[in-house]
Amino acid sequence: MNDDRSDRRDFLKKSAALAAGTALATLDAESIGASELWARPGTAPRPGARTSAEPVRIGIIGTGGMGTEHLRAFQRLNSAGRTDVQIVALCDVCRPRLEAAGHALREAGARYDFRYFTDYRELLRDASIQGVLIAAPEHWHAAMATLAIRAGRDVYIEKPMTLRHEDALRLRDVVAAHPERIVVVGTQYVTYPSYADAKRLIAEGKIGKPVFSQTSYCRNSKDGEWLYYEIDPQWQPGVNLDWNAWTGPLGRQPWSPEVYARWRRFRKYSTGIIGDLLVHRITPLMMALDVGWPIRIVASGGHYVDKAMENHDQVNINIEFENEHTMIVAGSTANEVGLETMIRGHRANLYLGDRRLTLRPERIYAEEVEEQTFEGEDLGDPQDLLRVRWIDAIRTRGPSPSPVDLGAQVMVVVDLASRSMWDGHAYAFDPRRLKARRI
Amino acid sequence: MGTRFELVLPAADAAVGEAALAEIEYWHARLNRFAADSLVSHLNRFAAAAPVRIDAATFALLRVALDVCRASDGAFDITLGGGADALELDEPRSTVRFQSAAVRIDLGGIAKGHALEQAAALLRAHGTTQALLHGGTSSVLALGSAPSGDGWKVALGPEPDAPVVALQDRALSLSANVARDHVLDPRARSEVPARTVAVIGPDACRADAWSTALLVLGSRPAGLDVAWQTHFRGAQ
Repeated sequence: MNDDRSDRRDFLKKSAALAAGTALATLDAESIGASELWARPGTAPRPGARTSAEPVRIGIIGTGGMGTEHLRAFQRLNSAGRTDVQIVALCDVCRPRLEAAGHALREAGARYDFRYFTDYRELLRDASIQGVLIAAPEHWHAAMATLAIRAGRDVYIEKPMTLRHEDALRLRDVVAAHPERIVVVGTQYVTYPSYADAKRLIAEGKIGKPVFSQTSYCRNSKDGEWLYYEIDPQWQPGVNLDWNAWTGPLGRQPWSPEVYARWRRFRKYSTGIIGDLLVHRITPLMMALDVGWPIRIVASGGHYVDKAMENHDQVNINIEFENEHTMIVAGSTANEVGLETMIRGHRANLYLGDRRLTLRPERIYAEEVEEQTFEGEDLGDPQDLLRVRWIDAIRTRGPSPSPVDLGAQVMVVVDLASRSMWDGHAYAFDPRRLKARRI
Repeated sequence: MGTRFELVLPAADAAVGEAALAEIEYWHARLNRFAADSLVSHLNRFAAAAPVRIDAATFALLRVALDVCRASDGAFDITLGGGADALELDEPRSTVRFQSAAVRIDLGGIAKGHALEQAAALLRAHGTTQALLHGGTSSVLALGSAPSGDGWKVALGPEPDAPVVALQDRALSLSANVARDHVLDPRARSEVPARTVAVIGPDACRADAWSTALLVLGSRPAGLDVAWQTHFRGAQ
């Protein structure tokens, strides 16, 4: 009891010392009272203001294929003088992957210290880290991004932004409540100049009302998609890999090295072509069109060639938007001939390359609308450009170059198209209530 | 907020105590105008150009700040002289907009109370019924009663003869202007005489705002609700 009282007096002395000079309150010993009371002084440090001359310190969560590619890219961008980034933390639930990423970081030229983490929550406790790049599988994105934002970190989220659209809408709310955070979705084609030009022309009314658009992401392989992700015989759940942490929000699942290496092929973990590939083309097109939320979505296709893959290898989507526009989207991992990306307007049509944009009048408006071609500046690799723009935005506190608001609208398409593929129904989405329903 | 926060609560509630301290850290980071990536810096940078959507808790904080600014005739002013009309709050959209690019806000006079309120809300949500929270001993929030069953006793200053108050579900805020502090009246930009003010009332955020206002005013204004107790020492 005496020790307890002594501890309590010590606590009070600390309070009084702080109060000295400001002549403020003293907390009375008797009121703090009994031994069952508990006190803990102090607050932990948090990321604070840094000068623009200092490197931006980031952590990478998920050091598989994409995470490792990002760390190499940042080192390359540092060498080229386009970024000044230190990747001071690497996090993965798999020790061999973590150490391989550390080795890759050293090989890529990192001459600074970095730390390993197997729990992303521990990484977020490191107050020196300003930003985190989330390259874990998509079923983890919403939870990790939410915690990172609340912990005061700027965030780059790999695509797809989330696995399900409900998570995307919740994340959108979190981002809206934290306007001070720079949160970027890794759909890098938004940096292509042709889409910015298209957005401007549409906003200026140059093509009249945009009524119909199309895009695609199609590729082909002899053996099947995503099989190039190797299965490592070193992986041992419970020894050097925390499988339960990997499945996380999806609940406990039986260990499967096939799923772990190639989750994009499996329905529970991925929307396949739609979330992994088509988001790249749908996102910039929706950005350019600015036609609001999708309101009706239906998809068809199937397992036409790659019968071993659980997710589909051919997907065709029809999307209707709230501001009276329809988009068709084709995705394939069984044939590489896609659709030309274009926007059809009442007065003219836009043909979008990556840099080049061509405006051609509708026949009935040929006298009034002049055909024009816009050649955008060669800005280099779009993924590098998005990385650079994220870091620039962290420094300048400028707007996100690939915002979560747009990402949430895209995720409604991705998730509802995927549901449509699986159950054969069309889906409606109510933009006012932000609720989906099966039709 | 540049100060130490402490919580006193039953040992069984230690885990939620950690969460409450994390909540205080969270608000410290967001409301710190000296951090380039804080919410306040974001508003100071962008809220003049267009309305900025803010979360409900921050909206409520700004609402309290503007209410006290008006009720105290500008003696408490987060815009440092711009007055309550320098900010436009849009409740349906939950946005704030600054009237001009010259407007800057500093929530230093109210942030501690807000952080304590947020931490107390978290404690209450987890079933804690007894706790004493303070930031730098100048902002104090009592949840329920002390273990003795009476209010939490707090002396209004370090002097042996300082008045002692008992707080039960009440907030206390003390503001002092001693020789080295040089507190300025935001209305006249003139120095405030040396005095100490204590305000006791139902919420810590409003208590912080009023204690600053009363430090400047030197006496209790008509606009202060009768539910609030005030204590003055020094020049009046």
